[in-house]
Amino acid sequence: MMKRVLIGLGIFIAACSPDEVVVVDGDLTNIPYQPVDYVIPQPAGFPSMAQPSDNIATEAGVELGHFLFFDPILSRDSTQSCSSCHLPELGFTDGKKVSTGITGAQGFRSSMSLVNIGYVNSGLFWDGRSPHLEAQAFLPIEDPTEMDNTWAAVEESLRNHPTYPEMFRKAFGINDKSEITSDLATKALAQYERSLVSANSKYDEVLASGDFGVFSDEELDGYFMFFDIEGSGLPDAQCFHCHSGAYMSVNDFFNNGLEALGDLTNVTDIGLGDVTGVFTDRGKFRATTLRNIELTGPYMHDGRIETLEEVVDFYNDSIHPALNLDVNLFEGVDLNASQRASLVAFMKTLTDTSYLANPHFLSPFN
Amino acid sequence: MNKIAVISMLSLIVGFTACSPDESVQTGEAQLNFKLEYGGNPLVVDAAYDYQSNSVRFSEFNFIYSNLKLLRADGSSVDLEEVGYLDFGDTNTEEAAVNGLNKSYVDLPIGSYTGISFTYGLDDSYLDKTPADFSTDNVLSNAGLYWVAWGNYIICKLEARFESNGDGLYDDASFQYHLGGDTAFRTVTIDREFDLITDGITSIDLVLDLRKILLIDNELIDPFEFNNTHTSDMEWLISDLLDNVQTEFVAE
Ligand code: HEC
Ligand code: HEC
Repeated sequence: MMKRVLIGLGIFIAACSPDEVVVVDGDLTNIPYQPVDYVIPQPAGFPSMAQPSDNIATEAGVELGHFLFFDPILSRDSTQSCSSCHLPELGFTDGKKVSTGITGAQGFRSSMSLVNIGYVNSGLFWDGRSPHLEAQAFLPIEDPTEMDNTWAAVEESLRNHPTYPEMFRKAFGINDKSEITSDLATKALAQYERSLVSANSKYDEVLASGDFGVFSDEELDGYFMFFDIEGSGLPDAQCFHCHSGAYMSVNDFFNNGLEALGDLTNVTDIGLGDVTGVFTDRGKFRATTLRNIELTGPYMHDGRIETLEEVVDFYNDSIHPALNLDVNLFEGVDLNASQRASLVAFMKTLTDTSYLANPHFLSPFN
Repeated sequence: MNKIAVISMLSLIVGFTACSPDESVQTGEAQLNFKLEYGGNPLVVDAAYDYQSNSVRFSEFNFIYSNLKLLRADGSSVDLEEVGYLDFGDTNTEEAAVNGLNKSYVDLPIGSYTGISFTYGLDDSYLDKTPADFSTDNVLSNAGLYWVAWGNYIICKLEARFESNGDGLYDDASFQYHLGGDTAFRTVTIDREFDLITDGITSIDLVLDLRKILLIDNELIDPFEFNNTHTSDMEWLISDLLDNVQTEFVAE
């Protein structure tokens, strides 16, 4: 019935404007729409992942998102995809201090890791400006320091593409190519990102088995200090206050003392304060996940620290005072050289590259 | 519209009204406004208050509660919420502090009530639970509220920074009182007579004065002496703070 109406409409339009080239073949209803829920893996130690009720992942939705994520079609000159700055082999970061967009323009923040990103249930980005993955995926496309495109142009390319219309039909049940929108494209990207679950690090082995013997002595010492485990005879490193749980982040925003921000009147990158407008949020950033941290340097929101050893030296020696320095870091951290090495060794147990053997995490175009 | 249609519509309306009185249970709405004060004034997060001879800014106050219910005169109760979480971290303006954190509960039986009760913290049925037992849309999945070293939830975080040397940075002392452990819960019962009515919201302020919570033996806790509650030799402080919370909630 719908099909006949559409065809009728098409003829009508065609009849009215004989000189123009009229696309009347946008109909997709002959392609079956049979959505099947995508089962998001549930690793030991993780909470179960809640999904938004208006965007529950389906097999076809995740697959569409997988293609979109790796497709440069999203950028103005078709040179950059999401994966250009979120490379699977670097924990889905780009190895740069700050990212570079298609024009060569540099952004002012460092790319962020996306493995297990579906477990973030608060503001995304270093400054929390995006409430969820669907909203986040809107932004890189039109960012002049990233893909520098317009959504209107992206919608046009996707509608005229040989395979995407069929994939959108299978994912979202649209009846016509013209129904391909930024809203659906970002939903598919978000579905794919939620499916990027991987938890096969040494730390995961311990979480799953409860057997701390999996750690070397050095790693275990690092674990004790990281989590302030009493009775180990080792000093507290206080890390767990902000990086904890299976995802190794408490998903909250802090000033961890990177700079001497004093009374907060002179702050270069305002971070969370720019988003909330709250004075004492100036200079606060998200305590990011430490999963795969070995692969995701340089570190911090602006990539100012090169190595994990230097990160630990920073927490040990150079936490700067400020009106909003987090109180959990007030007493400072006081580790000797071998204890600092143990802390680094523990962080390296968070490395999980097993997903690189899984095509689901790699470009579908190769 | 013709006459028959009007008549049949009318009978429909009459029919509906005739049905409704037996079926409907009359219900009302309660709004609980949780408010923080310090020495009798609204507590604005990150604003300065006197503390002994120093100045204090509170940067964090949050807590988990469970078994929230309204108490009735006949000894029965009406359940409102199994587990909830209040984070005062954003009450950083005078207006936000005066408004407090508001929770609304609808479809409650109307009538007379005598009080409100809840568990400050999680009762012992949650002792073996971890964030992995919950979904990411449940506050108990929050890793920041779980104390790995103790294997318990941190049911309350109270953090403050102090100024004593006059440089205005409030970094001369601090405390992080994170309350957790196997016995870190208290039943709070607040006496307050009120009625729930069919049309109208009954609004009740539940006020906690942090200055009273921090008084141990009539002295404000010294942050220079007691910075945190992270070691087992500080369990007494967790317990004393919770005992204070148990008696200091006031309904207004
Ligand atoms: C030019 C490089 C670049 C491109 C292209 C890019 N990103 Fe990013 N991405 C970044 C940077 C840099 C950040 C951090 C920015 C900030 O916080 O201000 C980021 C952050 C994110 C985050 C937030 C992660 C977190 O933990 O909060 C997500 C999700 C994300 N990107 C997904 C995508 C998707 C999806 C695409 C494609 C539509 C994409 N990115 C394209 C560089 C890029
Ligand atoms: C008070 C909260 C807090 C504590 C405690 C804390 N961190 Fe952080 N951490 C943060 C924040 C916030 C950031 C991001 C800061 C920025 O970029 O401005 C961060 C960033 C990092 C990064 C870089 C992450 C990335 O993706 O680039 C590493 C590594 C790290 N922290 C390790 C540690 C270790 C090790 C400890 C214990 C010695 C620790 N942290 C203690 C809040 C904290």
